[in-house]
Amino acid sequence: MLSSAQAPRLVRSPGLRLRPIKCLHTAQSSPLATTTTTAPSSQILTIRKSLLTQQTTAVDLAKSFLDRLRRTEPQLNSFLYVSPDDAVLKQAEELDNKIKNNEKLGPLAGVLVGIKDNICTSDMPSTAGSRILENYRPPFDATAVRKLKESGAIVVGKTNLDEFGMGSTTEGSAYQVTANPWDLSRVPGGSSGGSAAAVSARQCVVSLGSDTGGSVRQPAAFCGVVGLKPTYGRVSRYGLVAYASSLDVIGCFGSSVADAGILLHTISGYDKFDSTSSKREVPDFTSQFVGKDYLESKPLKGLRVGVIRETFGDGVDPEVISSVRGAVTHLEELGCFVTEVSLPSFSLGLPAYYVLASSESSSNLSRYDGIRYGNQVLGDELNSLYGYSRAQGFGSEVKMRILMGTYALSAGYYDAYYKRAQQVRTIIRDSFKSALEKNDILISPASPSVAYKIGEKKDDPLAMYAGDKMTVNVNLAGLPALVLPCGFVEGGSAGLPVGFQMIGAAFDEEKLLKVGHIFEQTLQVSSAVPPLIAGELTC
Amino acid sequence: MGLPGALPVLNTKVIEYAVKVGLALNCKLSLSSKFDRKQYFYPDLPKGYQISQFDVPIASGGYLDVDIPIEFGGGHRRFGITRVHMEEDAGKLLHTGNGSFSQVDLNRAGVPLLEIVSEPDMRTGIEAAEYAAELQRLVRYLGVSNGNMQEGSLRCDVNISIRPIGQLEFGTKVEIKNLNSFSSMSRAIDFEISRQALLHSQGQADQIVQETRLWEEGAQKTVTMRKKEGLADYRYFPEPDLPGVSLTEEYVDGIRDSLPELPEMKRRRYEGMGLSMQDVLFLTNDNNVAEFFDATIAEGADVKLAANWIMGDIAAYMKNEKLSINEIKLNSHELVDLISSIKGGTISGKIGKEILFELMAKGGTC
Repeated sequence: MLSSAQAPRLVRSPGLRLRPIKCLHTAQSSPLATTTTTAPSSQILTIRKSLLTQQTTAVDLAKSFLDRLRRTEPQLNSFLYVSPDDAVLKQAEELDNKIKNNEKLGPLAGVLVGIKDNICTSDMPSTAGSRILENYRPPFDATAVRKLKESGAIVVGKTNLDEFGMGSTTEGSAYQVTANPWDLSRVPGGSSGGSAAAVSARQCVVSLGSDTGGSVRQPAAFCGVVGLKPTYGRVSRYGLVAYASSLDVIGCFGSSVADAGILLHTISGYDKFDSTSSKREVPDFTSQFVGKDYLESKPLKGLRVGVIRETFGDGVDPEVISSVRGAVTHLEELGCFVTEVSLPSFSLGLPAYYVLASSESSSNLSRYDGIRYGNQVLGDELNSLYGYSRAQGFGSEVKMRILMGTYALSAGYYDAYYKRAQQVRTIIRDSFKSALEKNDILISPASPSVAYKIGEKKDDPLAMYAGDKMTVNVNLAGLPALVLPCGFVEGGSAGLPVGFQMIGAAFDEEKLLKVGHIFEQTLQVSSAVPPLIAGELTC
Repeated sequence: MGLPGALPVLNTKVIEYAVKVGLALNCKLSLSSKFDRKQYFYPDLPKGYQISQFDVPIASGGYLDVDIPIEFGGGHRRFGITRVHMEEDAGKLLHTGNGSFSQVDLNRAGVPLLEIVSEPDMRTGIEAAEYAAELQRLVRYLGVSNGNMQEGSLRCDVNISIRPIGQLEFGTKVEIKNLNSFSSMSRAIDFEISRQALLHSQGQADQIVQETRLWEEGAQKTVTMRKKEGLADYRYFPEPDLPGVSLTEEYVDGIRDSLPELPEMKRRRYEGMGLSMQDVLFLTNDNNVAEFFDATIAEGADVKLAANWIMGDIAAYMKNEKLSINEIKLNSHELVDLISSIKGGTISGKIGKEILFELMAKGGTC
């Protein structure tokens, strides 16, 4: 179904295989059906349209998602908690009544969302994937969740993650291992692996994740969906269980750029409960989206794109490199002015990140002491109560990071580790700032590899940490980044998705989304659905 | 509660109060300061860290002038102020009598407070207590706190070290907690000084160890509460959840211009009016009394007579009836009339007294 102009570029490199693309939504009535490609359409807008024109009901829509969720969940394990059917259907029914009565609908009316389980929900458990918060129910909704609910979205459940967001595979969950919908023997990435897998397998329309060092972007790449990490401060962190406060952001997953953009618009904005949230105005990220048919031949003419040299070197799979190079070529064809930029400090990001994130986490996780909430293991005196509760409540990766962070903040080591890492962070922030003065966006792979096998890196934390090298710098610099599928490599029964990362200037998500939207409208890969559900969604 | 996902929000009032106190203590203000996390585990500390200020306090390097009452030797003393910083309060542990369990009251956890650290300039229990009393007056004058020690609005921890005459460096310091009044503070310090001096004279100075001791009001002595094993490592690092605090010169100037007349300035002014130090200290002790006095003077009353009436019969009545000067019915205008009526011979002093009590109890409306 791809146009012949695009196909050769994608199959050019050895090991790269083009999969036939199935479109997600029936498009008989759409003018796009007559064209050679079918761009990924916004599921959110499609749902809205079909609800408003009464082609479908919110109840039917919810049922179809719930059916698919129940059917695929035994293989995927994306969710730690799924809302009871009647709770979901009751909300859908209320929406249908609103439609009948011609009442105003919120922008996300009838949209089923998955919420990463480190984001607080008052009506569902919020465990952060940890035993220490088993069965914990917060008394409040995170601001992002509150905004979703106010806009008519239906929360379908809580998605799996590496404990407290610490990990890159979702194997670090205290409860279950999530599978990648493209190949069930592979990891979905992490730490927001459940949210990525759920959108990829269309168990929900969109989902929220959190990104401290790449936890939205890397799983998006592994699962072949769109992942958006907003600028630090764009979305309130109130209700996000803190891992590393100066790096944490809530991010968005969608099956199209438009969906990720609409989701971001819904959850963005200043929040008096988060002193680090920004008072900047939130633009309507989607207003600049132009339909494919209205695009000029060089729609991105003059856009300055910098390809980060350091991200195409050693330790990056050649297939990933060719695939991302293909994306760059495509951007060039769209009119972008592409140059290579060098960020010499890039490789310093990984060690600086692990020092800073561990340091902050050692502090943030102090509150899990077994005294006020969460699992308590009694001891005969106070220190053993603390010791037993934390020893049994935390998993090994979490303990390791607490130990590393405690060490890095200790008297006598602070200057050598924490302070030095902060200095590196300043250098990285400055180097990105100057690169983004010369370029509109910067490009890198989203991850050095595609999804790997479950268990492959479980006992090799350094190998797993190395996988974060494409993404951590962006958190250190606080910048927004968008990850999009850009091709496939050999693997699984239908190929494995490759993602590339576009990094923008602070608070310029608008540009990223515009470029991303044009990219996906013209390079038909991102509407691909994984083999697990390919049959049922064929047009 | 330190719930997962909850975030701190800065109470802007505490910044205003910190600036007021910093200026009143003649400190240098940091126009940009920040918050840090001080980390330790304790059940009264829900987050496992206290948000405080470590290396850049909002105010530092000031002093406080104190007039020591005649009965304690008199004289004017200036005590150095090391720093004023903002931090959050912890909760309160309540232990059951039989020790089988403890409860924690988190109502005040996270509430902002100001910590004022002085230089080691006090030499006696009295000096320390007078310094603390002056701080209490100061925060009351400033309207920053009611300074009530029983309620915990004003809390004092003291550190005591002694050294042989001629030795430059300080001895090992011992901290004392549980000081619920200025008088217990004074007595606890003097007890601790003699305890340490005794150990020195017995050649057992090595038994003075860095520890926290508790003042036992009943036994009138200090006892060991916990010994500090080495220096605690609080692993301070900048609080990522709160932005730095930036003050503008205009903001600080605005607060400086709005500061009321402070106790030290009032004392010097009253002294200049010819009042004795005893009168001066009495009148300035309570800002409301000082304001009442100032109002009567402003209306032309004789300074010495007004002071005598206030310190004599009015003060006695307030004490008996447990009323503040704002709660008695008498107003400054009536006192001025009364004083001038007696002075002018319209009424006798004896009649004046009777009228005064009527006015204090019922006011001048009848």
